[in-house]
Amino acid sequence: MNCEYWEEHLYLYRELNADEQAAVDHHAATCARCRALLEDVQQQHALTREAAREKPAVPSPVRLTEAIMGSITPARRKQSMIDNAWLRYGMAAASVLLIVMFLFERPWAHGQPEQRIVTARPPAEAHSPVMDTQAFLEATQQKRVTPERSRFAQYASCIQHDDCDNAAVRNFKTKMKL
Amino acid sequence: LTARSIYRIMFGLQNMPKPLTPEIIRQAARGDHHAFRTLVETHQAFAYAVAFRFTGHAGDAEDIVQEAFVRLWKHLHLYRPEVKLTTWLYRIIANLCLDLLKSRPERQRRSAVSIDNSHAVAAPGTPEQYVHQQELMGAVRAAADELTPVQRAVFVLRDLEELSVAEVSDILSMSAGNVKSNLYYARRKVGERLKTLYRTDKWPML
Repeated sequence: MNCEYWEEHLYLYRELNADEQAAVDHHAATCARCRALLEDVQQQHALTREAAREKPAVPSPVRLTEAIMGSITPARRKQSMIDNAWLRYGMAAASVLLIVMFLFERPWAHGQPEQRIVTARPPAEAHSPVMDTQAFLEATQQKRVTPERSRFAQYASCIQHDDCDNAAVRNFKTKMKL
Repeated sequence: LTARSIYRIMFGLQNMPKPLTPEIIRQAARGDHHAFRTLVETHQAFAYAVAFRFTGHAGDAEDIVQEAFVRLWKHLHLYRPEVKLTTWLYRIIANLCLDLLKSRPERQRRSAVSIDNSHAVAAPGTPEQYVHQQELMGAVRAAADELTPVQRAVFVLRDLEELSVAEVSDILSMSAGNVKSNLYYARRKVGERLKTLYRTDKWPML
C-alpha cells in the first residue's frame, strides 16, 4: 500500500483503535517516509497541547458578568409578567368585579345625581352660602349604601385584615399569597 | 499534586470550571438571578476561552459569550442533569461561532493581523518559556485562521479543548467520520504551518 493511503491514518493516529494503530506501526517500521510523518504528527500534537495549556482570559470578568446579567434582566421581567398566571387571572377577576359592581350600582335607577345632592342638604340651610360639607358627605354616603357595595366593602376590609374569617376571601388571599 | 497544579488551582487556570451543584442550576432554571449569577461567574472564563479560540478576536468572543449565556438563561428550564452544563455551553458557543465565521469570512483573518496576547493568562515559568509559549500560541492561532469554519471547530474542540471524538460529534451534530475527516485536513494545515516555523527557526518574536 502506498503512503497516500496511510497519510490520513497517520494524522488521525490518536483516533485509531488498537488494531488500526498496530497496522500503522507495522507499516511505519518499514517505511521511512511514513515514520517521519508520524513523528511530525506526534511533535505537532505536543506543540498544540503546549499551546492549549494557556487559555485566553476574559479581559474584564466583572464587566462581562454585569453585561450578561444586564441583558437577561429585562427579558425575564417581561416574561415573568406574562407567565404569572395568578397575577393575570387576578387582574381579570378584579376587572370583572368592577364591571359587576358598576352594573349593580344602577346609577340610572336613582334619577338625577343633582337631585340626590339637593335633597341630602338639610332644608334649614338651603339658602346659606356656606354648605355643611360634613352633612353633605354623610348624606351622599348614605345614599350610596347598597347590599352589593356593602359586600364589596366587607371583602375589601377583609383583604386588609389578617383576622378576617370570610372563607372566600381567605381562599383568595392564600392563592394570591397576600 | 504538583507545584504546577497548585498554581493552576490558585490562579484559576483549570480548563474546566468546577461543576455546580444541581441545586444551583435548578434555582437558576426557576428564574433565580442570584443562582444564575453564580453560574455565569463560574463558567464565563471557560466560555470565553472557547469563543476566543474559535474567533481569534476578543470583542467577538465577548459578544458570543454574552449571547450564549442569554440563550442558556432562556432555555435553562429544559436542562437535563444527565447532560453536562459545559457540553451544553460548548454546543451553544460552537453554533454561535460557526454562524459568525460562516457569515463573515473576513473575520477569519482578523486575529492574524492583530494578534493580541496581552490578555492571555501567563503560565508559570521563566520569561523565555513565556515568550516561547506566546509564539507557539500565535502560530497555532494563525494556523487556525487558515482553516474553514468547520475544520476550525473540530480542531478547537478536539486538539485545544481536548474533547473526545464522540463529544465533538455530539456538540457539532456531525458523524464521527465527518469529524475525523475534518480533523485530518485541519491537522495537516496546522502541521504545515508549525513545521515551517520549527524548520526555519524563524521565531517572530526573537
